[in-house]
Parts: sequence; C-alpha cells; structure tokens
Amino acid sequence: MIVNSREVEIGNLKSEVKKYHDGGYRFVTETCLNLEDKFKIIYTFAIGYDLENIHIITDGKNVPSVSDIYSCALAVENEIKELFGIEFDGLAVDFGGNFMLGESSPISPQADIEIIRREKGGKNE
Amino acid sequence: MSDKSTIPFGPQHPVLPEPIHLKLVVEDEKVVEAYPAFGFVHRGLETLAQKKDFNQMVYVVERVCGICSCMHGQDYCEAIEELMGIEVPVRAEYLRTIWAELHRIHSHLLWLGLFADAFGFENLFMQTWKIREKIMDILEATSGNRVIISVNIVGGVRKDINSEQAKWILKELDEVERQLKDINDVVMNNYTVKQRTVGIGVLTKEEAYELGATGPMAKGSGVDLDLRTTGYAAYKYLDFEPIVEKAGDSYARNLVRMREIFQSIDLIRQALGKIPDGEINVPVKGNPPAGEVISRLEQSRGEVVYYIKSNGTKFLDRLRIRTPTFANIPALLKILPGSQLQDVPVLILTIDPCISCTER
Repeated sequence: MIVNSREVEIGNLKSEVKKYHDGGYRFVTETCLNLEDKFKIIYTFAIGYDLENIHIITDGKNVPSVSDIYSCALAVENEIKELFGIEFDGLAVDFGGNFMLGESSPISPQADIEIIRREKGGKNE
Repeated sequence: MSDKSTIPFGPQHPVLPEPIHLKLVVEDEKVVEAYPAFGFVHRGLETLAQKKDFNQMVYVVERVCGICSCMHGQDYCEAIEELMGIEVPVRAEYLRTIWAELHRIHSHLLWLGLFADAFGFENLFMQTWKIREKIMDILEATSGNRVIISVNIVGGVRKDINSEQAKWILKELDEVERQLKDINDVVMNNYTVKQRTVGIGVLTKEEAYELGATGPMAKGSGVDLDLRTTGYAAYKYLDFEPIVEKAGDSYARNLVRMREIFQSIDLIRQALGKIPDGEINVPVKGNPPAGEVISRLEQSRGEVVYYIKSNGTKFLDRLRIRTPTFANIPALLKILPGSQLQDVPVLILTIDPCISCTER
C-alpha cells in the first residue's frame, strides 16, 4: 500500500487519535523519520484489513503520548524516545531510556539531531 | 498482610530461547506487576538501509530473524516491487507461498518443542523437533540452506522447485501429517497440558483487539484477522479460511498453532497442485522511485509491517519493521499480572516470542 498520510497539528493529535479509537480502529504502529532539523511521526491504524495513516511534524519536544488512548502505544513510544530522542509527554510507562538501549549505548542512535542528553555513565535525563 | 518482592526473570533462563528480561513484582506466588526490558540482541538493522543498496537489504532483512527469515525477505521484496510497479510472475508467487508455509510449519514445530520443554515434556520436545527435521530437509533440498534460505529477490525468486522435488515434498508432507496427527491427539488431550494451559492467561477478544495483538495471540482470542485472507502472493488462488479459537487462554493459542500446521500442509498441497509453468523472476532495472510504502504479510507469529521510504537513489531513506512479537508484548504484559509464578514461563511461551524480530 502506497502511504497516503494526512498531516495533523500536534495540538489536535490526541483528539484525532481518539476518533480512530472510538471508531473501532486498532493501533498498528508509530514510525519516526528524520526531516533535517525536525522529525515526522506517522501513526498507523487499521480497521479490518484497511490501514489509515496520520502524521505530525515535530521538533522532538513535548510530543503528546497517545498511550493513554491506546495503551499498547507505550512500547513503540519508548522505542522512539530512545532511538530518536523524542520527548513524549504523558507516557503511560516510561522506561527511562532503558527499554531497548542499555546505559552505555549511544544516545539517540537513529536521530540526525540530538534532543535528549544523557549524563555521563547515567540514564537519560 | 502480604509482602511484595521483585524477582528478575531472564535474560538467561532455561525456558527462554532468546534473551528477554522481566521484572516480576510478586505477592507470595502471585504476579502483580511485570516490567520488560529488551535490547540484548538489538542490532540496529533498520539503519543499514541507508548504507546498503536496496538489493543488498534483502539479505539484511532475512537476518532479522532465522525462523521468519523467508517471510521478512518476501515482505521487503513485495514493498520494493510495489514502489517500482513490478509485477512478479505467477509461478514466483506460488513458490513464495510454498516456502512461506514451510517456514510457518517449522516455526510452529519449533515453538511446540520449546513449549514442551518448558514444562518438562521432554519426549514431546524430541518428537516435535524430529518431525521438524523433515521440513528443514525440504528447505535444504529446494534452496540449498536449512534456515536462511535466501530465495526471495526483488522481482521474484531465485530458485525453482521441479516436478520430482514437488512429488518428494508431497510424500514427505504426508509423513509429517501422519506423525503430527499422532502427536496432536496426545498433546491436546493430555491431562498435564490441559492443567497448565486451560483457563491460564486469558485474553478476551476485546483486550486482544484493544492491545493490538496479532497472529495466534489474537486468533486464539477470537479475533478473526489473518492477512492471508487479503490474497497476497498466491493466497488469492488458494482456499483459505483463518483459524480462530474463542477461549483466549493458553490452550486456545496452542490449538490455533497446531491447527495452522495442518492448514499449512493443505496450502502447500494446493499450491503444488496448481502452480503454473513459467518464469520465476523478472529483470529489475533502475532504483525505486521516491515514495513511501507499507507492506504487510502474515508471519507465523502474526502481522509483520514494513514501512519503506525511498528517495530515488539505490539507498532507502528509512526502513521500519513492526514485527508481530513487538505487537504482542502489551498483551503479554496484560496476562502476566494475576498469574501464578509457576505459569510465567508457559505464558511467555504461549505468545511464541521472537526477540531477534522484536529488537531488529
């Protein structure tokens, strides 16, 4: 399926996601992409075998977590947080940077820009 | 008054074929909370898409996981083919389907062996893996490799199955089916198996859907979703109905996998009976055009999702793989609280976790 994604404003993200949830869509995944000095996060939902995608463009700070709407989103949001350094507000369970990466792992290894800094020898701030 | 204790489970544990770590908060013998930690086999394979060209990436995605290897390659190739507008020969579609179903059988048999081993059913473990060897022999005879068979390429497949091999495969599958029926009668009616699985780790249909569960984890809870229904590869030419159980417990998930093995044998028989003559691949020229595509197929453990963003060069901008075990982790975290400590290994194995897939 060629991706046909609709952009939504960050401020409207949760209300849009809630519409999918209330409409009986299941959560499939979130995909984060580098966009020079910004990030694009694609949210994928499915109903039956059909997919729908929405996306936001963000600088990586204060992205509202949708894990209070779809609790299963917490896993992928923790992964994105660690691999891209995105700061999610309101993560249902925050693994503090130790979901996929270890304490001595590179910081935000998939991000072109760095959002979250790690203290020397410690966990993500 | 009860005391809470925190017990580490894994990453090295006798029942775990791959490393996963769980922090289990227990009250006496009852699990009240579970927190996972991954990353022990995280290899960052997705980032290689920016360093290896799109044809070389077939070899990379095949190595995401040994057990689902063939289907990773297939899904990736189907995504690139959709981007490039390539129509794969019908014979190649059939061959992809045959090898994918052989992988499903050996994956489910591998799981059954590990599951048996987890609760001390050593004889079943040995019998199951003995049968699995016949499938591995078929893979080796038709592709040259037992595990990572590397048959998929962008534009089709690189190997063919001749008529002599087809007859031999059918004969071998008859024997696999006969032996599995014997095992199935014993396992699914066994007192100990039922005691350890019936009513244990119940996930309702609503919970499975809400938590995004997939594969036997969802089908065992009554969620009637199997991407083969959409007719990708050669499934559109075959009779296929998803196998669904409604109880939502560990026994139902086991039953789905057992029934899927017999179904896969039937699908291979159908495919070998209908496969047309013809080319097995088409030449591919140029690079994928700039664009984004999502491709999905049904692996042994459920729905795998490939997202690809290309920029018109031979290197991809982004490859993202959402594997079925990753989708099933929230469901596992749902069924662990409330269970007894002794049931934790069984519950983990009833999701048939593939950590290599999950971490990539």
